[in-house]
Amino acid sequence: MSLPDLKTDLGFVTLENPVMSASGTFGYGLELADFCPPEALGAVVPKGISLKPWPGNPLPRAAETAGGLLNAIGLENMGVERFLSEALPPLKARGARVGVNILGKTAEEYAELCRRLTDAPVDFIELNISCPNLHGGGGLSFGADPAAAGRLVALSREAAGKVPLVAKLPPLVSDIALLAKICEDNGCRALSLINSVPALAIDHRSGRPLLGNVTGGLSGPPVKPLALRQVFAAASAVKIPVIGLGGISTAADALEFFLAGAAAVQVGSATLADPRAPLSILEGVRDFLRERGENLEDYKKLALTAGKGRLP
Amino acid sequence: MSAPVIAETRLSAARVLSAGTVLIRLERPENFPDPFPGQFAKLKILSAAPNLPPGLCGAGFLDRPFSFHAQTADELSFLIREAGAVSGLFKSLSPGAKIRITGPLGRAEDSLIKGRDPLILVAGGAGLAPMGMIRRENFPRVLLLYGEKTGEAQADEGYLDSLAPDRISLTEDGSGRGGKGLPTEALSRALEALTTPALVFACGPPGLLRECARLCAERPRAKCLISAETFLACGLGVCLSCSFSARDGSRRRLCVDGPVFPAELLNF
Ligand SMILES: Cc1cc2nc3c(=O)[nH]c(=O)nc-3n(C[C@H](O)[C@H](O)[C@H](O)COP(=O)(O)OP(=O)(O)OC[C@H]3O[C@@H](n4cnc5c(N)ncnc54)[C@H](O)[C@@H]3O)c2cc1C
Ligand SMILES: Cc1cc2nc3c(=O)[nH]c(=O)nc-3n(C[C@H](O)[C@H](O)[C@H](O)COP(=O)(O)O)c2cc1C
Ligand code: FES
Repeated sequence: MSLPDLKTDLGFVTLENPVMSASGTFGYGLELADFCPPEALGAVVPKGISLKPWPGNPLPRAAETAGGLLNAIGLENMGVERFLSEALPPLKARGARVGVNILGKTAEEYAELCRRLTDAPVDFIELNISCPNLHGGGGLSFGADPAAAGRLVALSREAAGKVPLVAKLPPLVSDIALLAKICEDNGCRALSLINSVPALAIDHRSGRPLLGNVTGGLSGPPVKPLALRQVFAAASAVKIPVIGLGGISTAADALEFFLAGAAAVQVGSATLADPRAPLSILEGVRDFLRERGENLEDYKKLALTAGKGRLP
Repeated sequence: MSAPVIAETRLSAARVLSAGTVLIRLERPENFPDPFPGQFAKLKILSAAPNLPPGLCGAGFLDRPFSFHAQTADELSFLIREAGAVSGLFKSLSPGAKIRITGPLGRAEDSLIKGRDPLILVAGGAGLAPMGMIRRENFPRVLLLYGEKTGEAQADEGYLDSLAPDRISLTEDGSGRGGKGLPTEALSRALEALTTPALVFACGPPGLLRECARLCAERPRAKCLISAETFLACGLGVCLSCSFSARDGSRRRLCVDGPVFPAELLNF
């Protein structure tokens, strides 16, 4: 068979392929270009940005735990103005599709960020309502409260104009299906999940936490089964596409997410170990489908969610 | 400075230097750019479990950062101190073991390549690692002040001779060669005797670095560079796990703006 068709229709944009970089693990999109050209991916999602630059958390900001990674960067970023003038233009000039991950302390800040992005050449906005590392509001405080999330999405929807919104959901909420549905009902065109999992690591000798922020977010291979389950639950509950992530480090991992109902995937922590990871995962998916003589859409028909609503 | 490369290579030799420290030599991958003083590489042992997905591999999820110790046309070497599970694996590797190397990473520090002033190297324990990259012939004098906790941890004399014939070795408990004391005490004496400007380059535990910075700050003739450390998740400038506020108010990423910084930029 010739090369399989990997086109991924998200409804509001058609991507050349289903593999994206995950926010916070691919810089602002160009730093790793020698290893993984941003335009070769379905889309890139740069580091989460806020209205004003943020300094982030004290060191140490990351630690390795069994098989994975704990981080509490604290959303250090250059702020939306510099992002628009410095980071975005070269990415677009290379022909990359860009989803902009945003984060604020209040729903109004999210809406203001959306307003700043309405006229920018961005393919979607990813509302980060799931960052576990913020103090004093923002991030997870919205994702953990479906009513607050609904209001935030509605306000952002109004402000974003024609730019499609994707809500990035947290892994640990009492009812992920409910949260997913509320985001859909308030105007999200897609969902992405999971963000990192609230977690803690302690050094038994020093008695100190390994992170300056004390707690952090767990990511990498250890969270994959949890992520698959939540993607399955969310995809079962909504009609909009779901972008799956959490612990994807091989093509097999990515394929499992399609079977859990994901329309596309993002690669996060694996890129930190090997910056070629998103590209090798994409190539692995292509090789797998070529061997089976299938296009991506054929393979997705095997998804557990194909009949929808089958979550026991 | 060239862009980093990622290559799979093999261990050509591993030599135990002292309890807990091993000097490993890797076959130099084809077209591997020249590393400069201050730069490091990320290493991942692949032969521990070559076919397991990352994360399930016994050699950790993330690659580990190590300073370049030396280079030749055919080999790259690293000095590795056992600090945990992964660094402790190197001593038991056999020649031929597969290793992934990503580098050179970090900023090359020009003033450590060549200089007009004497260079004083202050190394605590594994802080000896980056000192191997210094070319003695490029400085009027290179003095090594090397400290270990115990004699057991001291690298052997033959090796130290090849690294820096002009040196003072000390142990904290007095159990080793060269007497009892701290390298920073030796630095204090060396700085007092200074008649010309000098460059100090320090690498080692935080206490040692802080003391070197303090001693040099008191003496305008001594400029101090520090090879700093924190947990690096990517080493490539994308994750911000190493980003901090420098004393001049700027944000710095240790992995791309460092790891070597002027001491006055760091908050200890
Ligand atoms: C720029 C740089 C250069 C270094 N050069 C050398 C060297 O030449 N020789 C040497 O022996 N050691 C060096 N280190 C330290 C070395 O990276 C750690 O000792 C090693 O990563 C420990 O891994 P582990 O699995 O054995 O230990 P773990 O059990 O994982 O941890 C032990 C200690 O090592 C630290 N550590 C673990 N992983 C990392 C990581 N990815 N980045 C930074 N620190 C980590 C932990 O925070 C902890 O303090 C360097 C570190 C940095 C940042
Ligand atoms: C160092 C680091 C920084 C991150 N920064 C962000 C961020 O800015 N915004 C965001 O929505 N998610 C951020 N994340 C979460 C990832 O995008 C991803 O949701 C999570 O790590 C799970 O995927 P993974 O297991 O593939 O890493 C970050 C993760 C890591 C490890
Ligand atoms: S370690 Fe990732 S930015 Fe420095």
